[in-house]
Amino acid sequence: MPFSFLGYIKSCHIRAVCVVRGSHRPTTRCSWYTKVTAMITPNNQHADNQQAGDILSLAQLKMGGRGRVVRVTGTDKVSQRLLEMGITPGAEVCLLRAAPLGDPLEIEIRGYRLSLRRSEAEKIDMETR
Amino acid sequence: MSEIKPASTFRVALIGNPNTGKSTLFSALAGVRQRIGNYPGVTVEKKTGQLEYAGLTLELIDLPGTYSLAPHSPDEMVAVEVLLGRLAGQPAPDVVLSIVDASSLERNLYLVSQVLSLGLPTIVVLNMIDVAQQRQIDIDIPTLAERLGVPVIAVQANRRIGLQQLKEALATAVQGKGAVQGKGAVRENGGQDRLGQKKASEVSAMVLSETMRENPLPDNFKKLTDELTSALNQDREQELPHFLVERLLLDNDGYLEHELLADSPVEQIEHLHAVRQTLSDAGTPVPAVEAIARYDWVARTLAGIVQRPDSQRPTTGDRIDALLTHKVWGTSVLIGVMSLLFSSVFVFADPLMAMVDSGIGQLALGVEGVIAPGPLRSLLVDGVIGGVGAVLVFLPQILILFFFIATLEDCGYMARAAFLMDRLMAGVGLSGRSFIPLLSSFACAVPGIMAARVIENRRDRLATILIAPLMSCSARLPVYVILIGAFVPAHSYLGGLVGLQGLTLLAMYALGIVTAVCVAWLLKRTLLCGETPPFVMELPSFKLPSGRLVLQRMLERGWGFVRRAGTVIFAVTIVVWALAYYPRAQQQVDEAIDNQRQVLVSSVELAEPGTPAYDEVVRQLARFDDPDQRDHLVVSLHQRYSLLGQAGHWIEPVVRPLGWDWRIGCAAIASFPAREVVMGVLGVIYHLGPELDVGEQTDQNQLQQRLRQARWDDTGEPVYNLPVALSLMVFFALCAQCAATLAVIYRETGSWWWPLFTFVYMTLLAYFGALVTYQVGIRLV
Repeated sequence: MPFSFLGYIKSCHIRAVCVVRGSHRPTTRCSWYTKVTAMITPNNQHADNQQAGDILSLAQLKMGGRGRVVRVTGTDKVSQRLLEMGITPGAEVCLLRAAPLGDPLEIEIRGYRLSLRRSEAEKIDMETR
Repeated sequence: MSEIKPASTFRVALIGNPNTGKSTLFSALAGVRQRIGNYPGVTVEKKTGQLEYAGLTLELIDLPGTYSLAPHSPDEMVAVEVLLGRLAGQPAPDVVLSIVDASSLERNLYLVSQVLSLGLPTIVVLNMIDVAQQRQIDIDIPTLAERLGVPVIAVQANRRIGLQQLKEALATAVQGKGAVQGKGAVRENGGQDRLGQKKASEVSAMVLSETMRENPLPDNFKKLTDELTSALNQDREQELPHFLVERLLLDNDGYLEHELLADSPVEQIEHLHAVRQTLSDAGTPVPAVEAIARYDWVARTLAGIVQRPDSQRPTTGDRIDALLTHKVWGTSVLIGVMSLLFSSVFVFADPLMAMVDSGIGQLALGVEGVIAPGPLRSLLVDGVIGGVGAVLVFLPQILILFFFIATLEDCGYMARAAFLMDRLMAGVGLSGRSFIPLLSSFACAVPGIMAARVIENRRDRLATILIAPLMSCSARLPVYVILIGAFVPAHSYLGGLVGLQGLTLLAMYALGIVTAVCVAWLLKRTLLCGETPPFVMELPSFKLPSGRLVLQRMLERGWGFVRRAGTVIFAVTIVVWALAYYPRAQQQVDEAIDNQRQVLVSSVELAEPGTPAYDEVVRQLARFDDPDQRDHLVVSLHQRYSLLGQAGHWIEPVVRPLGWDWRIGCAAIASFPAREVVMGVLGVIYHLGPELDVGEQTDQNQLQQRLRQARWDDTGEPVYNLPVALSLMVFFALCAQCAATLAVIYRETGSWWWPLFTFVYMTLLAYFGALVTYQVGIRLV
């Protein structure tokens, strides 16, 4: 299946819920955007995972939402730091809240609290259930 | 350490994540026998202490708190070099104490996994075991020790529980090491004690059992690293340890490559890149492969031995966290806490500073009573005692500020404050961590700059340090108040709600902030440019701050300031004293007084009695007969003929475009030890004597009156008018006339380059700011 319709509906639903709750910043890239860029950009790691369908970045998770880390994209210092702090594939993450000015975010991972900026959270691909 | 260590001295390194109570444990073990020094070339503090136990001397080395042994900067490299024994004259530690937070084992064991791969004898210390118990986290310690292959000791460092067992384990570990080096380890049948910890002899065996330590990284990685190690170590004088080769491979930000392979042949670097490519092709790309492998290892190690409560019931800490990071409540608490911090620095420090001042004054009076007037008395009173006072006067502010900062840091609030303020600070390219140092700088830049140490990233820390002196500190306030009071008309608008004087004061503060924002923006794009550092920050769980630790931090900072910055401030005060005192042109002064008197006497004869001009001349003439006023005149003339006064004359052409005469130039130079001195120097210049107190209303009024009366030597026009006053204020808002600030920048950055840079850029800004203000001002008025 080249494109998971159900997954798309699901991510739309999550976005809708987030927008209704007022906790989602529409400025961050939506999942369809990620998917479209994944399809048109060669060598993008998104391409081989289209089937999962509901992959979205941590920045797109709704407040209070949970998910499992699929991967941390990039190989720079920020990505390495995220990995070192325990954001590794399979780790469960709960997005707790955003700071009053909308950035940074507070998450719970591996039993402790971590703060990270939206730009950093965008590097973390999540899988929700 | 180059001295030969006695046979029974062993080196113990403490390493752990931030917020694990590592410093508390260090203090509990070392007691008062601590020393703080510097590692050469970096801004990391070197903290060492001594522990005597069972006839052994253990030298404790407290390494900076870190989440990982992956070095990205010289500061982070220090810990790695200490552990590998690569620092000159310092062998690798005999034992490593790896401190972990028992309530957050998963993340903490990541670092432990890296430490274990060093192959050094290690003891894992499970700290804050009480917090874990409170959260009903149950840890099977004996099994953990077995799986790790090293002793695991549970402690509560803040209550000093478990320290005895830890010391025993340490003693056994180092003795075991001696035994192994001598005649091989002796093994006895060891049972387990109450806490499930292994008996001493077995501990020693465990400390050394390197075979049990598996390298969690995948096999292809291990094979490639082995090959790379031998390739890189071909014709190398100092062999690269296996650990560093692993790091070279994993940390692909270029720092280590630059550090270690700068002189290596190109083939070696190409080999390194080829290995990375191979790993990436094999589906195990760096740096992800390390984290995945180590966290896998952590999961395997902890499987079945850590029981967490099933229900995810929110704890008290969770509720406090939710409150303190809430949009409305969190922001209100932040504003409350910051107002408290800020006002207490002002309110509580003020009486203490007055006490220091009056103490110094008493001392000066005492010395004046004992020693006859002359260079020695002046050196002691104005130079030495004044210099000591200039250092001590900062202590109350530093101690109070660090009392608050240490408390906030220890209870876990600092990270929340940074979390709340990050967005705002990110706007100028800084991070939330810069907020408190900059806020503190409104009270005084000295403690503000010292507070910048909480900023991990070197570039962010430097940018914060460099703009901190632009925040209008309390020492600028008297300058603003006097000049505004004297020259800004007291117009008010909106029915008295807004006054022009108040607006001017506000404008001065705003000028500092706006300039700071621009300078930060520029710095982050030029001198300090680089990729945005990660703001991935742990929000530690809340706990009651430890009074002992807070007190210790506070005193450490105070003492550090006196010892390092104090000497510089003292020296500068003495130099400026000498400039203002010498060459002591008594003859010139006497001649000048005679001349002035002669001029007045002749004008008395010319003037008509009863006219205001006549009265004025008579009044001025009376000054020569009143011993007090005559003294003030002599002091003033001595200053004029001193090196400082001459310097004022030399720079008059430079400061003339700012609307200043030589007197203001001279006062500006003399205020180099501290900005607030400028008003005192002007007081001396205008014959008000050296005891002028600009804090007092009557003295202020006197000075304001003299300023209004001041005339240019050549034209007889008034020196001060609104544009001149504004240009002087703008200059003092932007200049770096504060030796203490520059000394602290030197202390915090470890180089003279940065204080010099700060001085030059701020002085240039101040000069051109004042120039524009004056030139625009005179065209408008």
